[in-house]
Amino acid sequence: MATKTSDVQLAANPESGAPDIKTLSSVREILRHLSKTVSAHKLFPDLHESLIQFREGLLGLFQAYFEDRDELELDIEANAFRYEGEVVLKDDNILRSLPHLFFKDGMKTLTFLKGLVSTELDDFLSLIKTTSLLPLEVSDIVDALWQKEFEHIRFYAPDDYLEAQVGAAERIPIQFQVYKGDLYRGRIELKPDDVAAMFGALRDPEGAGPKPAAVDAGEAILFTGFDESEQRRLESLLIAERRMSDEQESIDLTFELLLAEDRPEVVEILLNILEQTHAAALQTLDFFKVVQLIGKADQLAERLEGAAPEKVRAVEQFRRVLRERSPRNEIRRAAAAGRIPSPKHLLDYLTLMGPPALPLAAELYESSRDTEFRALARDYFEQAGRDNPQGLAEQAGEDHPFITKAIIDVFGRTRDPRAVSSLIAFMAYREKSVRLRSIQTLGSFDDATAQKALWASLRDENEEVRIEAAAQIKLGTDPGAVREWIGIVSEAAFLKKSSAEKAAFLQALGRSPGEEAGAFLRGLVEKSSFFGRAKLREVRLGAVRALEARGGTEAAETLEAAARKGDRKVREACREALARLRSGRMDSGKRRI
Amino acid sequence: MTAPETKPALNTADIMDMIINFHVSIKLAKLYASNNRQLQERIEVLYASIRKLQDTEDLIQLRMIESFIFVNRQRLKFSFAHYPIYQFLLDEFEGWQIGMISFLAELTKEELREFILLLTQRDLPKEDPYEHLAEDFKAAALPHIRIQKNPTMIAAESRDRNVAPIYFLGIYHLKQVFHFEGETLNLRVTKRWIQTICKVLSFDESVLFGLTSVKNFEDYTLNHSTNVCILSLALGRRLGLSRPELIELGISACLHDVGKYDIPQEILNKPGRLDAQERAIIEKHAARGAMKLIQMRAAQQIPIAAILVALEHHITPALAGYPKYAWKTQTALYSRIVKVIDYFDAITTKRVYRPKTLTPSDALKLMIEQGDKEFDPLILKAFVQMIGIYPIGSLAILDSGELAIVAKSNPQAAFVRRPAVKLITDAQGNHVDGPIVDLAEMDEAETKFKKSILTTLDPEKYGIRIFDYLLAMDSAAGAAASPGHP
Repeated sequence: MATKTSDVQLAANPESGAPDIKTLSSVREILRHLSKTVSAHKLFPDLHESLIQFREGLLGLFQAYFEDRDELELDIEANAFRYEGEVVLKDDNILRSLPHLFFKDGMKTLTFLKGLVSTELDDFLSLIKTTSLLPLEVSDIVDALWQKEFEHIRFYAPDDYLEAQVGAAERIPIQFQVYKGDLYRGRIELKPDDVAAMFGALRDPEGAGPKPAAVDAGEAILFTGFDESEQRRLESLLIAERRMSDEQESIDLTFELLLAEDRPEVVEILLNILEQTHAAALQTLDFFKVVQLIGKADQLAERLEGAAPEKVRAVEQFRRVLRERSPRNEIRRAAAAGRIPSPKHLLDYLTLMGPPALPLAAELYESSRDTEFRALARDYFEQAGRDNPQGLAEQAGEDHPFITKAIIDVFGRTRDPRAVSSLIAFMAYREKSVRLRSIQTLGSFDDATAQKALWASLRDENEEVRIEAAAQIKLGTDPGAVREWIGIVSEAAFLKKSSAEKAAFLQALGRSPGEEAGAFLRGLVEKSSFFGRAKLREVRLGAVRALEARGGTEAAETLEAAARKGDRKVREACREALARLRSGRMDSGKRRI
Repeated sequence: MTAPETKPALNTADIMDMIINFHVSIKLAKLYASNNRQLQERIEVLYASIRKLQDTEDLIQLRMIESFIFVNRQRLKFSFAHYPIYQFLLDEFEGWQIGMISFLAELTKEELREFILLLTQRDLPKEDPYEHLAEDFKAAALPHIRIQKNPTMIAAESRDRNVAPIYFLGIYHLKQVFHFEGETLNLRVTKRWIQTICKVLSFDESVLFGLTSVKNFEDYTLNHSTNVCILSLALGRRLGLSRPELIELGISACLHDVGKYDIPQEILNKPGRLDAQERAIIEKHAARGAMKLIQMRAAQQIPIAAILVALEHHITPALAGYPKYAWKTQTALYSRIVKVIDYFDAITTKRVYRPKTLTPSDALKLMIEQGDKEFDPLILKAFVQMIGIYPIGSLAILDSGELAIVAKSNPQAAFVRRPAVKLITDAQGNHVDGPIVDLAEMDEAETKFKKSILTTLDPEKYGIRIFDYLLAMDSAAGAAASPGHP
């Protein structure tokens, strides 16, 4: 019988006998609504409007009941709930009966307490739903409720249910009775060694005398409470345990067992488990797990020295399977939809797959707009390029400008001489940005073949390309190259070039340390003519900048002389260049157009 | 009773402070007279800590719900260090049958003092203690303190049940589990048994601890696994594991030695030393057990933790032992727990190959000596503090010459050598059905302890079956002993 709890300071209410009709009606209403809500929970998704209304309605009924009561205790029968002896809900259909759901697992009473909140009620309803959907041999509402630890929902399920479940066949009669008459009869005579120990202890109470230091220290520690650092360590052990991923542990565990296990049939089972794990990981594109599995499989193979040949073969076969499976199409689709869970782990996977994965990586790079992926992929390509530049270069193509440029950048970073021929080939691409990039990169190589190839770009149809080529060419002190360059600059056609292009060509002479280049530039600055004045001015201005870039006494003298006469703009330019030279603020390498 | 959502939460440290002060006040009030200065000072400190909480919320409520303590809406986090305090307060609340104590905003120091004395100064009857307390409370007229009776639910879960049948049910159930030959093991019953054990542990650990002195019932491995499970659950509770975690730990402990059933009996029970080959076979039981559980895992009822424990329970924290790990760098928490308890139960069990079975206290001494070479030091410390240096069921001789059996350990670390003991002989060695004596009790003058343990004895030397005495104690505490099962 449910009794009302009483607050001593409030006026005591008389204890009720049979429940009044109003209360019974209220309880019946609650349970009817609970039943309907449970059904609704199975039909509708959690956020469905109808379900929300059912839940709110149910909570409202409970709250109304608890306005002047503290608990609602229900006795549970096979197909009915009773409240203070009266049936308040009956349902004979065991497939849907709420009372039966609780009864079948041995529950005898279910109590709701005042203070029940919506989150608890929602959890309770979810729990009923989950439990009712499980197979009978597995579902246990008592266990589910106990694990959930509701604050305002209690239940009682006695142990006789447990007894019945253990199975009569296994029980053997146990005498649980002890006859005290027999137990406390007679006398105990201590053995001599125990008597000696007793007297020894009497002389040395509580073992205060000498004992092994380790025991002494150990006992002393055990007698004290846990200090803060011990508390923290315990907490961290608990946290680590709670963070442990089942899946991860499962993989680690299986590999450890594989190492320890000799039985062929068991090795096969374990390898099958791992293969299934691998397949599932590929399906969900969980490349972290895939990489782990492949990596550990390789490590396992290394540790099999001395193992049975059968086991070694099985593991080798397993490793092959892991590498052969490759969900290229799934990866492409996922990449296209932006659904790759982790670009980093995908690239780790592709790295493990080796050179055969390179075309797929290149394909993904070309089609991806994910900046994170591209940044990571560049590191991948760099590694691939170091190992096999030719293989990497083969991923480039006229129709793949992004990957082609990425490959060019890789070659620029690695400065692998083996890449020069590929870079030269890229200079012939239609895409201007590719030609420009490859010219820039070739220019960074200290390689005669590269330099030679750049000369060809001086005749490129695109001015920007020609300018870049001129900027990258290093004339050095090769008299032949300098003379040829001077020849180009001296041609009438040179005057038709844009000022930017002219400047680029002249800068190349400025960069050359040879005397011939210097003399030619000085000559250009000193030159004056009434014919083609504007074009000549451009040349002279370019020469001024080139001389400034050269620096040195002779350049300064030429600039000083030219600053005193001739074209006004040239004079100004010379003065400014001189000023910068003298102050050491020359902004070398900067082209002014 | 649910407070509005917008109120800030009470500070956890302040809550703990108040709880500790409340605990100490109750203890002091039970020991000393009402005008004792230490008691007065402590009540003042308690008052200050309640007022501090009332800076945040006017109404401060202590509630006991099942085995948890709530302060307003906040459930106290269970921690090993404070376990004795929690257990003490839960026991006191249970003894008073109080479910809630409320301190209102205008609480005075005098009211609080009166209240503490009211709770502690007289012996309440076992029958309906709350009714008597309520009368005293009404008479005291403390306008800013309220009390409420504990709802009847806990009474239905009788603390006075016989625990022994539950213990043996576990052994029988494990027999079904270990001999299971199907593909999908159903652990539903195992979980229910674990749940029941946890409930009994929350009421009183002593009886179950005593029952773990039963060894070799039916079969060594079954009995041993049951004992390991019970002690692991007790330790797990103290460490603050949640209920789902306790279920996992319980399952893991039950199944930790399932691999032993693949080892030939003639090797398991060989009286002499094992040769290298036999040792290698024995050592395989860990991996075999793990493998067995993996194969059963198809129904996904067996937690991964159980497989880990089966594999790791013979590996030390430094990864010595067996099997040897190639990749993993540490063992799991549950494995460390089971390792300690597995070792303890094993060396206190008579086996054909063990010339001398250690008494529980000697076993603990040995384990302390081995220290962190063999065990996680924190887990070992927690375990020893849990069962006491003289575990329940130890046979001891007192300085009075009487023989006694340890009936209940002392929760305070400082009194770990002072459990409660049941006297079974007088000073002359005559068997008596003596009282249970608390060895922490001091003489009238409070100068020394009334009785002390001199040393422990091996009960087998005297043909003493400890279990019979514990069963008699269990039967005396509970309902009439149940008859033998059909």
